[in-house]
Amino acid sequence: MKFILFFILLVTSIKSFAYPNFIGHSYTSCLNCHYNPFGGGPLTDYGRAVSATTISSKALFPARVDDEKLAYMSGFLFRKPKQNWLRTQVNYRGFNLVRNPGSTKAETKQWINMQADARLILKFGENDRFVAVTNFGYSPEPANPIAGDKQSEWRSREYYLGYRITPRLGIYAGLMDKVYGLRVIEHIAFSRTTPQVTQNDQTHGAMVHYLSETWETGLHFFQGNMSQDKDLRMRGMSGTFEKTVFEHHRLGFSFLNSKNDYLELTSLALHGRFNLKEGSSLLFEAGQTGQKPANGEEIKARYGLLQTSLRPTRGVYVLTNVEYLKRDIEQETYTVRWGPALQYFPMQRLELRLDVYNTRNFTPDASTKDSWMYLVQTHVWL
Amino acid sequence: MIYTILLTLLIPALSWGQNLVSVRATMIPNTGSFTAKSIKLKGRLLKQENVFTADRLSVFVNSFETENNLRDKHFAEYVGGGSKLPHRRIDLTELKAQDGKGTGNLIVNGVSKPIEINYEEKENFIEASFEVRASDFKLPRANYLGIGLEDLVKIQVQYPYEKK
Repeated sequence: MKFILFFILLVTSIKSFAYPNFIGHSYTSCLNCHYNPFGGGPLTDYGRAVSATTISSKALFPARVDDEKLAYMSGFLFRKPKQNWLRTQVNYRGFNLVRNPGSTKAETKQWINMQADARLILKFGENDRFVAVTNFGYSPEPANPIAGDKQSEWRSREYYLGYRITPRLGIYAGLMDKVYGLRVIEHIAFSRTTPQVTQNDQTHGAMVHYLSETWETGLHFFQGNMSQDKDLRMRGMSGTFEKTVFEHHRLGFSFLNSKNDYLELTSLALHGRFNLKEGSSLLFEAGQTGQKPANGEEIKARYGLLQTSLRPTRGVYVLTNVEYLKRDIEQETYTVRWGPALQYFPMQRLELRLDVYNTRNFTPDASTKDSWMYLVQTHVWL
Repeated sequence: MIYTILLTLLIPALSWGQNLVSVRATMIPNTGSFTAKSIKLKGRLLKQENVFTADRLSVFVNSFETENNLRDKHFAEYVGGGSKLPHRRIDLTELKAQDGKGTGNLIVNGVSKPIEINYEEKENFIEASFEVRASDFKLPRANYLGIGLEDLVKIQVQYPYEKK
């Protein structure tokens, strides 16, 4: 706790110009910039313009190229689309993962193509009232696949139809991420892996989204991923609720219950998103997940995430993650992972990122060495 | 930890001083809001006994900042009546206020409308608030790449007064 307090004091005492996590720019809802009201996936026209004029650096452009021009060029073909009903996007993300850096015996390096997909969006009506979103492309097999669950590396991880009955109320159906917690981009975050809401956990289902002046909520009913064998599909429901506090911040909670023939998973979480002005933000999530095998006792895990992001100058973001995981709350063993990250958007369509992770396992009966890894990531989108 | 977070949130709010006009606009469909702030309000606000008066308080539309350069530009062009800012000044005229309430004329986009304000007297300045509708000042519906703004905007003013 002292460390966390110290850390908050440290980061908040630095004068900086803010950063992304859109709450830091007073975008309390994800719906401004994403077709999916809970974020992730393709960007809207507005989201692309925000990316070009707020998130990305303009240092590589001559002075005569102002933000108006950058916003105009943020479209797929480097200009404002001439029609309103079709959008296309291409996305690539890959990184070099180095484990145990500096160790003559244990250092390993691996290049991973994380994602390479094409996205198609059809949209009609005032304020994109009706949307059809799909993507298709390359995704690597999960590092720890479920036994018997062989998936193609070429697949769609997202396709859905959405209809805004009113500007406040929308319904969505298809293959989507589960509505739960904070969708931080670090897919290895304990807050995403523990409740099984990370990059390969999309599910077929229907989702209702409601946006009020001061709160936002979503309920997601799902039948599992239909590409999996029937006995493996996690069926159930999840939901999240967020309340706007002091105009620019959000506090919320989430729940999730799902099960297949072998496992029942129940998860609850509290989260907060704080606007630290001028784009900087602070996020936290704390949750508990129970996993009950069909023929066994339930094991409850607890996790926590604290993430800060600061923008010293436009296009550059300094992040720090502190994560906690207790895989079994009945045991004394727990894991803490933390590390800084540097994110640089030299121009719209290009993100370079360096993440450093230090992981330490705390056990009462043994001492273990810290493990270190870093990854250098490239993200390109058109 | 809660106190630390609260302190963090409060510190930026304290740093604005006593000359501040803030215009809070809500995005449609309620996806967030932004506040345009200017610290360049000009004019004389006088206090005689318990009555506050001002002939004219003015602020230039291009003095507002919203934490986003492009939005600053769009805000100025929107409120100023176009890219050449034909109405580059917002004026509050004939202000008279007493006992926490007041009246005046707000001139935006060349259109004058009577307004009612609520205010609180602080140590040597007043803190006033009022709401206006953009459409009352013949401002068109704001929309940029599918994101619009609510017609109703909330305005807060902090401004020092002189004793007459």
